[in-house]
Amino acid sequence: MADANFTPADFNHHSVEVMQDPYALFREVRSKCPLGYSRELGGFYFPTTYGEVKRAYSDFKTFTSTQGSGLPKQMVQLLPVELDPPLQTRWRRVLDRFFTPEAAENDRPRIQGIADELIDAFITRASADAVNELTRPFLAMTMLPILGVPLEDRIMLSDKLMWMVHYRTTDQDGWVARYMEVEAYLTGLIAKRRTEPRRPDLLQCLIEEEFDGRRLSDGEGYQVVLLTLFGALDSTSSAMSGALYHLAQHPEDKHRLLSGAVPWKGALEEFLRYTTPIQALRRTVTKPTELDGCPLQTGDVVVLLSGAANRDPAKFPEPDTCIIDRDARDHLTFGAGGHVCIGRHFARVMLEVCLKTMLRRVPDFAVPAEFVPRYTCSEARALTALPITFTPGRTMAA
Amino acid sequence: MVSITYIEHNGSSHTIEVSEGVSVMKAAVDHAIPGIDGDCGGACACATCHVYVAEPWRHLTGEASQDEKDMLECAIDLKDESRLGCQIALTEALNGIVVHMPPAQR
Repeated sequence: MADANFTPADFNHHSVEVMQDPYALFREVRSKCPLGYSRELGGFYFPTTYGEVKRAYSDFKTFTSTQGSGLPKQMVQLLPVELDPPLQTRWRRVLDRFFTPEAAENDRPRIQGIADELIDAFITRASADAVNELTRPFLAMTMLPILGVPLEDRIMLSDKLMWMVHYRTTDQDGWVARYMEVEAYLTGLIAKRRTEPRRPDLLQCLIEEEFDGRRLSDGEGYQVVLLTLFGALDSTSSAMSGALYHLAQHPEDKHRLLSGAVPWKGALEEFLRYTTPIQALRRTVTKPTELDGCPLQTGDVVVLLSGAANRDPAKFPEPDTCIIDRDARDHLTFGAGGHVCIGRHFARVMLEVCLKTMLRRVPDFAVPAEFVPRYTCSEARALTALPITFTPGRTMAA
Repeated sequence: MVSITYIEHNGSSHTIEVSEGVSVMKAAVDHAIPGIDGDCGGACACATCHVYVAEPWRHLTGEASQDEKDMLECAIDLKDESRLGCQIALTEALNGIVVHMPPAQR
């Protein structure tokens, strides 16, 4: 390995300590040979430049998803994200209509209502936890009805899925137990829905429509719903809470957005770039290839760090600063290529509604000076809590 | 510069001038031409930049590769003239090309 052109850097995205600020490590690797190699989790390569991360996302023939999109793999194959095009495309075609830009835009009044309802619950109080009282329930309350998963099961599912994502390297037994519980719940839900009146949601689609020429079994339906639940419970919340944290620390940016000096559209993309809720997705090499000039062999595991790509100074100057009037549209927060996040249009509407509503109704929200941010780690990285204080306001009904 | 005309399924026509080498998909997305999504960003991995290319332009664009044909099978309202816009680079030889859109991309 004397001539190996990669940078040895043992870490993994489940490391609580590293993931508090993974960007320092990514920066260090990028400044040497920009392809990192870690011996952890069985060994994996990780490109840190925007160009190589994007190339690997796009080249599904060389960097397959069929061996798993997480590292370690989840217990079941997640569908259709752990298929490659064109089979993945045929499955996704059936699901796309629930997540189009038009679907998200048409849902805006309902999404606004959810934001107002959640803010109503704390606005008279002068303080709140923006993560657990706003952004996490907001994401789930927006997405679960689209999937067809009962809202009353939100907290139960959220707790179990958090475990399935964030603790699978530290508590194997707990991980397996929760998988069994969630599988029983979701397959039961699908079986129950087969006997109930039709409803215009994703579960109905999974029951009665054909995927690649045939209907799905309850087990396959579960594999799709489970994937969408990961997105519905543990993704955009991180962008919303991260953006609120930035705005609390930078009142000048609140004013620039409120006055129209900085357009929302671009600022939202910068918040998405800066927060990068989904940090790490795995691919597996299908044939001899290279990344950053380093030869890779069939079967090598590659972890694509969207957060590293989004902080590449060659693509985004001053990458560690949230600059709300920069052009961040090319960020890889939603991935790229055929697997680009299906929920991205809803994510943008949620982020916009959340931030605009907070700035309108709770304009002076601030974060206490003594607050020390803590982040969850794994594929998903998010603030665990965000305490805010503010001048109490009125509920919508008042 | 290369001129390209996109004709939506409803007949609306959009003519733009773009730099040589840009793809039919990228040119449309960059100019917010309705009717072409280009979700995957040009990786021939989503079939949401489906267009129809008729003669006399069809022979100038060449034939679809096998990878493109595999993806085209995922497209809606497939015809003999179907192509994926991300796989057609706008060269000088294609100056003036006209492409038609299908009724929908998804």
